[in-house]
Amino acid sequence: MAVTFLNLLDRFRPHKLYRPSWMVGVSSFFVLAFFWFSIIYGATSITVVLFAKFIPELLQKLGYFQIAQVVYYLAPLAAVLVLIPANATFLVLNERKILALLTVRVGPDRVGPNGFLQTAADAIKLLFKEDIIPKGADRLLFNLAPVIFFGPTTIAFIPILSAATNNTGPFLSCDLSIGILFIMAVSSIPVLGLVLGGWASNNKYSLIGGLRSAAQAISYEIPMVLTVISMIVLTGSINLKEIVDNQTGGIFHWNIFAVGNMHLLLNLFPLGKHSIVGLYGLILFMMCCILFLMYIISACAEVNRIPFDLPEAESELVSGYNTEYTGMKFALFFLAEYTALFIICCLASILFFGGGHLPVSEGSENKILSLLSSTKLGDLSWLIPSIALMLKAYVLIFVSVWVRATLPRLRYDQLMSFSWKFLIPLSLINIFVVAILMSIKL
Amino acid sequence: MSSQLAQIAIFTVVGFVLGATLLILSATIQKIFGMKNPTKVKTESYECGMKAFHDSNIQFDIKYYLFALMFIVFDVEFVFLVPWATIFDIATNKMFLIGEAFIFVFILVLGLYYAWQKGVLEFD
Repeated sequence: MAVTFLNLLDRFRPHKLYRPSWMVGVSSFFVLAFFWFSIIYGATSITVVLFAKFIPELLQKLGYFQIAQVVYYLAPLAAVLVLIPANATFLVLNERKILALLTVRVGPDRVGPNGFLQTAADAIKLLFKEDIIPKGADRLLFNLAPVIFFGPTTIAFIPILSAATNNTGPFLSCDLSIGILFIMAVSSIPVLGLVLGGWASNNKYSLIGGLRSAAQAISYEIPMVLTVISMIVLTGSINLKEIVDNQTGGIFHWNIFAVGNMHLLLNLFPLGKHSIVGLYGLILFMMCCILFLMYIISACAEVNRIPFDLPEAESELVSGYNTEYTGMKFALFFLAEYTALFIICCLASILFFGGGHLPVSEGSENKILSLLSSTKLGDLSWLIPSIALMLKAYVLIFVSVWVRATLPRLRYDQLMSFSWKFLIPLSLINIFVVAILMSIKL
Repeated sequence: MSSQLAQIAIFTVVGFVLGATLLILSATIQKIFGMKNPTKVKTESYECGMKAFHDSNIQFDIKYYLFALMFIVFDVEFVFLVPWATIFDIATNKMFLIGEAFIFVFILVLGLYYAWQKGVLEFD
């Protein structure tokens, strides 16, 4: 409604002045984002409730107890299968709209009110588009590459689901004790798909793109994992659920704020005999900020975001590994790329920004959770942490789009030397600085 | 624990099968609507609108291989560092742990330094 209203306002302006002010653009974008978010979140939650509550009860009434149990365990999977396409559809639209706002354009606004359905229409177009396999391509690998690229992004959701829902209800079976390690291991598989796709296309650009993406992914995986190891030293756990639990109790207990030691900084100000304690807190806080920056830089490079999108540099490699891909195969590459971005941002908000915790004190958070813990639809307390985590991830995604609009693409030798000569030595030093800080423990 | 393993197995199978299903769905739609019409020009591999000059199996820089080689060393390093990092919080003799990890990482850094001096990290 509100989107149409804003559009109407625009239509009534004098035609030669058709350039809505940025206020109109930003507010209509927020309306659009709100509606898309409700669709994504609503569809996912309804799916979970269906699979965790209604279908098993129905099956139990009919006497199929075994199948009811199986359906109950399938609830996380169903949630992910709804979340991935809806989320990627929104993220593409989101990115195009924000880029348009940042470069003072209108962006897509034809399909649906204010371009609401643009990417949904794109998805349908891609489904119906002719599938061209280039001459001389390795047909099996050419078809296999998008599947290999897409598959792991689904798997990487398991530990994130457990952290996002506090292990309530059917999500208890997602609680992996090696959460971070699992995500790291799984998220290094997709690059195989890129290399295979680049090689199988029988195209020089694709081959170069595939090789570049392989070299880039392995170079930036090292600083990313080393940074995560520093975080493991700080938090003392590799279970995502435990890491989230350690950050209970308001905004200053989040890991980015000196792993919950922000109160030590208060000792700095009288500059007395306790100021060394304050200095310790300050160094810890600075280390956390450095670790976050390094994580987000190397993670963006890992998922080929601009300014690190060398594998698909449009101006030199004509989209690199997916030059020859059309239709649904191209869509799978696209879907997986945006889902990987979402996973990276979810992990960042779990590691640094309190995961599913609200920025309120422990008591009031428990009060909010207990409101939903015994409803007619069963235990719905997972709704609150998951919505908080998603919103935090979306804020980080907004930052990555902002970076995309701001920075130009790096040169390839700069990209490689930035990782090997700067990030990797720095992340190795970071591990020891963090370890020494933790062994002092004032 | 078995329910977690089952969950991983289900996600793995469905993740890959879903991608394949989408491809098959799109192929079926094309078969039904008869949209498949590959002409000789259309299936030519793209090279800026020109006919492709050579075979696409071009030579590429040995540097890519050297980076992959160095990555394997660091990748194994993670595997050894993650357990170290996990028990660090509950360990009693922390300085001893740091010393151990330092020796381990120092040897690897020597290798990195050697590669750096040999010019492996320079792309030109």
